[in-house]
Amino acid sequence: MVVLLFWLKVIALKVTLGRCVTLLFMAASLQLCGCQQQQSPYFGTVEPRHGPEELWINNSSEPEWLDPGRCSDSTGGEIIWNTFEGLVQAHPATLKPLPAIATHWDISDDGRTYTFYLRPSVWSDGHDLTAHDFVFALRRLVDPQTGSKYASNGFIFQEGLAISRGDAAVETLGVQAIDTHTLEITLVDPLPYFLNFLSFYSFMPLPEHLFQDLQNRGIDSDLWTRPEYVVCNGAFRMTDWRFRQHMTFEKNKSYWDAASVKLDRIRVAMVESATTAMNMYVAGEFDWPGGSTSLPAEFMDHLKEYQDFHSHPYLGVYFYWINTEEPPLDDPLVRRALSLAIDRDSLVQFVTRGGQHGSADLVPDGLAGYKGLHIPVYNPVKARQLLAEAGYATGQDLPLVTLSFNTSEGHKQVAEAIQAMWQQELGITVELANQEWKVFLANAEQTNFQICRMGWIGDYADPYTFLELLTSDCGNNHSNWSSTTYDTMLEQANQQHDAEERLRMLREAEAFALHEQPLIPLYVYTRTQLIKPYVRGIWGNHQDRHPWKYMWIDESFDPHDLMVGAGKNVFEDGQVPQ
Amino acid sequence: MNNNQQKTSSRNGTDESDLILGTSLWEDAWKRLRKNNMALASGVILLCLAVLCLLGPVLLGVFLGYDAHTQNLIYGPQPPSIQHPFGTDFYGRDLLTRVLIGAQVSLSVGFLAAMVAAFIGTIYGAVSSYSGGLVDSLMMRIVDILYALPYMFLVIILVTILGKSLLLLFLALGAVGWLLTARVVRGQVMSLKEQDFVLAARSLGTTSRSIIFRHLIPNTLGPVIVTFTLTVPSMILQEAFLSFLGLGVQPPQPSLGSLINDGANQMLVFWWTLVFPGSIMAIMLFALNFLGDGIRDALDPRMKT
Repeated sequence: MVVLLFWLKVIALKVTLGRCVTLLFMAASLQLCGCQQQQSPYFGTVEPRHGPEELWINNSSEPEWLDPGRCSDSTGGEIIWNTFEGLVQAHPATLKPLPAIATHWDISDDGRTYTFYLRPSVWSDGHDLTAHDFVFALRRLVDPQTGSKYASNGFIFQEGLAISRGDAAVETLGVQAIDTHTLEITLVDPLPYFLNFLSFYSFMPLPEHLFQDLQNRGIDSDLWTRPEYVVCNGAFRMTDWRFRQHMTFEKNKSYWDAASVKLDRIRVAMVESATTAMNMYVAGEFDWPGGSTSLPAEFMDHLKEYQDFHSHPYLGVYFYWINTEEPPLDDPLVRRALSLAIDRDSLVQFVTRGGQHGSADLVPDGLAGYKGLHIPVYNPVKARQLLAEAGYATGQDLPLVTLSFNTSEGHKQVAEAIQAMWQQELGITVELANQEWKVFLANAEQTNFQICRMGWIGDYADPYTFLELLTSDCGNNHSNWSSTTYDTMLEQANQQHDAEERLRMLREAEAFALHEQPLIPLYVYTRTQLIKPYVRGIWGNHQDRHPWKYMWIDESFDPHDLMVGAGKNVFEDGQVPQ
Repeated sequence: MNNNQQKTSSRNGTDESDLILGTSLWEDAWKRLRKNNMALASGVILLCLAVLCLLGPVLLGVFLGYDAHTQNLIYGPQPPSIQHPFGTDFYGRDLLTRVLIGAQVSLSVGFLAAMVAAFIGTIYGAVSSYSGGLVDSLMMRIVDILYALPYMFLVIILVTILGKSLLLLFLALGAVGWLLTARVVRGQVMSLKEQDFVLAARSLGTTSRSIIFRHLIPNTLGPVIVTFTLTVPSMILQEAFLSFLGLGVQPPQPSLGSLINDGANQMLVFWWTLVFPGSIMAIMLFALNFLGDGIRDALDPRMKT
């Protein structure tokens, strides 16, 4: 190795680009040596590289939107959840709705009208926060002029869908301010999951006065989330945003619950590569690689032995969208053949390796009593039959198919494995294309792809959060597939008062949609993460929501005491807030 | 200078043929190269590598049934063993086969891109220099401007515009890599075009085109070969760098760059996925650079035989 390094050094001096490779090798040899010396029960350094008032985390990529009314990706959601506060907040461990801006609420007998009583609170610029800020935000969410991909979240309110289609005025929305601190919300259906859903980031209040102020000053109001303008009401406020480097958040002193916020400052980096993020964690550059950073699959078996490795079930489905308009994938037979040719068990066991559960269903099992469809996952013989039925005797007859995914080793590994499965089982040639997250989302939105990777995280604990994806009016339906039959099936289910019957109807709708296969579900997520033993106040929950306001640095943790079990498992015995 | 040498030796050859046996430039160079053990060894290593890369995967396929693409997830990443001397990768594919095919891709990209570069550079340099005056200034300023632009940036733009195919990758690398050759050839032709044989050709009414292609370019071959041998390794590195970024050779097709990229991500747990492709790459670059240096020394007439 040393000789090799020397050779490479000689060449690197001649050819400038060679330096990259040399550095790589040096890094490799250093890492290999470092690995053998390690005796610690923790992965990497356990001495914080900053004071106890600070936390360094990662958020995997540059978010597309930080605007609650427009955001639809998890990297943006992570920021919004911690800079804004809605009517209710989710309990960090159980996700049960807790009072937030609303102190209490009344529910009408038919379960469709909610009256929220707001606490007196202020925005970060000192303005009073009123019920009108919620009305403004929710009207903006469904307003067709906003063009929100998550407008569908507002369809649960009376007239939400009609407004979004342009058939009704925004003022008619079923969200009305009775006085400055009382808000009345009228729902279309008596949704059992409404309060749980209400903590979602789409339902945050917006500072209407800021929008007006920016307009008066002649500034594009789309820029309102920039740190120089932003006004928020959550636990933290963004003070610095370096493109593709990091964001800095400071504690918001005017937050209503500022007394329980323990950290003063949070630095959020944007490192896409899972391996780089992991190496930065080892070096102490991250205390927690963050909510949306996955761990590299190759390291799973190795990492499981460390005490700072944690895993918990996660309500998310990893799937491939299919553009159902472009041949040859416009044929449902071809789409089903593709799905049947994927060996999901091998995929989760040998490629993703994080304890995921291979599944061809859209809705994960056990959600609010919902029984999964358990569609047969792997049947290459049937797949070849279906392909032949569709008129392609062999896969070679099929034109080249492109599979796109956002830049990440994990997605690439899954894509490469599936590329080989389709090649080996069906003889189909697939080309891979990776794109940066924002570009990728823009392409997905315009259905500018043939097959593309996506993950969907349940926004609330009800099967509808997944089934809604395929409805015609859903801004996150990227498949070009829509069916009025399916839409009616879901509508009828939601009007159903009997919970059992509702679930049965939803199940029927799922079976109907998956027979058309506008998407190929691959597996149900499991969240695996690394958390430094001195970080406290993070709980595992199935929506992977980790509010920063509860996090703190435990100064009593002794980094020199490397005995097994010296650090408490933050995931299990942190104090759960009331 | 090369030309002088050639003329001297040919005059010696005709005038004093009984006494001294004439040696051409190429014979001279070969003699000098043979004395350079490092260069010779590098040449042999390269030849072996090339033969291995070409025959290896075929033999492995015929005798052991390995191929570079068929994944076997259950088999998974295995450390080196007798069946798999380089181990297997994350998808259970034989790493030796993949490294050999990757080296094959890297070598061919290196050679073809260097050839494209040499071809464009030689013609451009010769035309520019022979034309002289305003045309020369203009053509050379274009080269200066291209030189000033970040090289890799240009290649990345070209790859993005042209698409990610292997053939286009040769072209993109070659299309940007010809600048050095153009400068070398221009300098060479600058002195050549003042020589008597060019004057003779011109007075016989030979067209500029024929002068450039028949008389000037063949005489610049020495320096062009030297630049060529030194361009090959840099092209290989650039292809590796592009593949490392995910812009070069696309999966499942391996190249040394993408193999090293995968290996670098996994080096803590599956060390062999980095060590083997990395070592082959290092040996290849080392050999190519030494051979290039050797040829340069051999063709330099100022070097004593």
